[in-house]
Parts: sequence; C-alpha cells; structure tokens
Amino acid sequence: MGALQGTLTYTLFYVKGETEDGFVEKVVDMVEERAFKPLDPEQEDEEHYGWVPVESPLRVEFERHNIVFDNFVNLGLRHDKYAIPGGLLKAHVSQAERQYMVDHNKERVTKFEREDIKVMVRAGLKEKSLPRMKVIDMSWDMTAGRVRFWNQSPKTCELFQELFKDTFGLDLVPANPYTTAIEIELTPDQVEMLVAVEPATFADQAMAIGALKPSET
Amino acid sequence: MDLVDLINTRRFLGNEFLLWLWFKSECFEAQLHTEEHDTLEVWIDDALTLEAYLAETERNTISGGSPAYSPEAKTALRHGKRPTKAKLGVVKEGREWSFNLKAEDLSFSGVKIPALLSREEEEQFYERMFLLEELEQIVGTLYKEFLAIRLDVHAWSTLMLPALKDWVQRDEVCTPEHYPSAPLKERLGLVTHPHLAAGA
Repeated sequence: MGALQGTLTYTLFYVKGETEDGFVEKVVDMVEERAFKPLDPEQEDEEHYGWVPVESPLRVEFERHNIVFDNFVNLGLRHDKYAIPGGLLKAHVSQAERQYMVDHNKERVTKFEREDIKVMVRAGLKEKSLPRMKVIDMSWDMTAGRVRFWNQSPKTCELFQELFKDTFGLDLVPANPYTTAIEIELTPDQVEMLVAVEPATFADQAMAIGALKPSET
Repeated sequence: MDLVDLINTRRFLGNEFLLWLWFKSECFEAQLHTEEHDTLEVWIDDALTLEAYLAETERNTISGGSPAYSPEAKTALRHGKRPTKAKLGVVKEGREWSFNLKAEDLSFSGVKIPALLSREEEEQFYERMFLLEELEQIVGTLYKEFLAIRLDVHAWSTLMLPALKDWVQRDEVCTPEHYPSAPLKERLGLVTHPHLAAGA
C-alpha cells in the first residue's frame, strides 16, 4: 500500500504532457475504461490488471470522491494472476493422459491430444484455485506533475507505465540522475555538459586497478 | 544519444552525488546550508553500500554504527569503489526524515517521515504527501548544488575533484577547511554552510 498508510518505498515518475481541459470531470470515465475486471476461470486469460479504488481492492465502481483528492489522483493497480504450480499441473496432466488412453483404448496420445488435455486440466485446476492478487497504490500530484508508485520492481513499473498511458494518454518518465537533472531546470550550458561529462576517478589509479585485477599487480 | 542511452550512461552521477554529499556532510559535521531550505542537517546514517564501478559483483555493505567514518568504507573508496546506496538522515526545522537513497536511480525506499499531526485519514494523506515532497525537494536542492559544481569544468576539475581525491586518501576526519567553500562561492555563488551564509 503506501498512499494512505504503511511503508514509504516507491518509484517516482515525472508526467510528460498536459491534461486536457475539464480533465477532473472526465477522470472517472477514463479510469472506468481501464477498471480491473475479475478473472474468469472458464476463460483462457491467465492474468488481469486494472484500476481499483485505493484501499478498496474488491470494488470496481468509481466515484470522483474516491479518486480525486484535491490536486491528487489516487488509484490502486490490481494485478491478479493464476499461479498453478508446475509440478501439480504436470502430475494432473499425466493422470489425465493415462485416463484418456484407457477410455479410448489407446496406447499413446498424439501431440494435439496432449495439448487439449493440458488445456482442460489447467482449466479444471483454475476453477479449484484462486488467483494471486497484488494491489499497489499510486498517487498522481497533478500540480507538481509527479506520480509516486508504491513499488520498485522494474516489471511492475513497466506494466504501470503502460496502464497509465492507456488510461490518461500521458507518458511517465522514471526519476533517475539524468531525468531528475533535466527536471531541475539546468541552463543550456549545463545540459550540454550533462550529456558530455564522463565518470571521474577519485582513487589512486594503481590501487583501484589492483582492486579489480589483483593478479596483474 | 537517445533518452534510454542518456539515462543509462548518466547513472554514475548518482554515485558521484552520494560521494560528494558524504564528503560535504563530513566536512561540516552534517550542518549544511541551502538557499531554499536554509540550515539542514544531512548525514549518512547506519548503512552504506559501495561497489566497484566496472565490477558490480565487488560490493561492500557496511551497516551499524557510523559506516561513513569506518576505515572499511575509506579503503573501499581507495580501491575505486563508489557509494551505490546509503541510509540518510535529514533534519529540517526540528523534523527528521530517515530513508535509503539508491544512487543509480535516486530512488527512495524505507522512508520514515516526521510524526504526523493530523488525525483524519484524508488529512493524514495530504500530510504524508507534503512531507515526502519536502524530502524530495531537499534532495533535489542538494542534487542541483552538486550538478552546479559537477557541470562547471573549472569548479569541478580544479576545486572539487582535488578536494575529493585528497579526502579519499586522508585517514583523518575532514573539517570545513577541506571543503573549497570560498572559491565555490566566488565562482558559482554557492553558499554551502551556515557560517558562510552568516558572513554573506
């Protein structure tokens, strides 16, 4: 979590682009288009992700008062995924293949039959299990043009950036030494130097090289 | 260079920023000054990680006590390692933050903010965000000061880099005299600690 309580570990993003006029009036519709939709075990989808209200991961209805907090847009990114253990799936597929051969008086199953059996077994196991749910908050400070996303996994951050872009039509650029330097408004000369500077050496060269290649010293 | 290249090739500035902050904090016994935030206390707390620049598997993680003053940290610097992550403490107007700063992306983790004054949940949210933003601004201001020095050829190569190299080789703790405050003030107009501000 993070926006309302808990540990403050997050990735900072800079928002590129401007929100259109009347954005706040449209925000509920925009979010609803990308709202989280629960997984259906009878469907082939293995994972779903989308928005939920912050602190209410089971709700998929949005109202302005639970999204817009003054100059902040707060949302939860819910990501559900079926995680059927490989060993369990393999054992059930193997059992189903044996049963299929007995039922159809066959000595072996073809590649296509094996694939069909695997799909059916997977669907059966999905019906018996619950998807793994992950909810991560984000707070978009519309005045400062900054988004805080309470997660630092590169894969999850990438998924979040895509969902944000699809929802609001705006790009997010992650903070790092380069983008942060640009954000703090350097002079043109400084920007030129920012691109040109090379890493400095602070240690005595011989000691530093010795530390990296002890066999050569 | 495209944006991805620029991001990846400029990550070393995060390491150099942490190194500069470590040096400056030691010189002034954590008492720093910025125009935007007046007097601040900034110090490396009880965790510091250093890695070799071209061999990331060579890593020293020093935790507990005061790692910034440990001989192990200085030895790692002399062997060409650079700070990659540090737990920092910041005090402004009696309010204290504690957080981990990762050099490669300047990301914050495990941030402890000053005690909240609000009681209502919604008010607490605004206060949490305000305190985070204030911390980001403080770090941003310090990063801006570092870049002003780093991106000025004269200030960096003839003033700061020699001072940093001298500090890396030095066993004794640095004092304000080791920081090139006066020439930096003359060249860049930087007022870097409360004594200079008082005399400005």
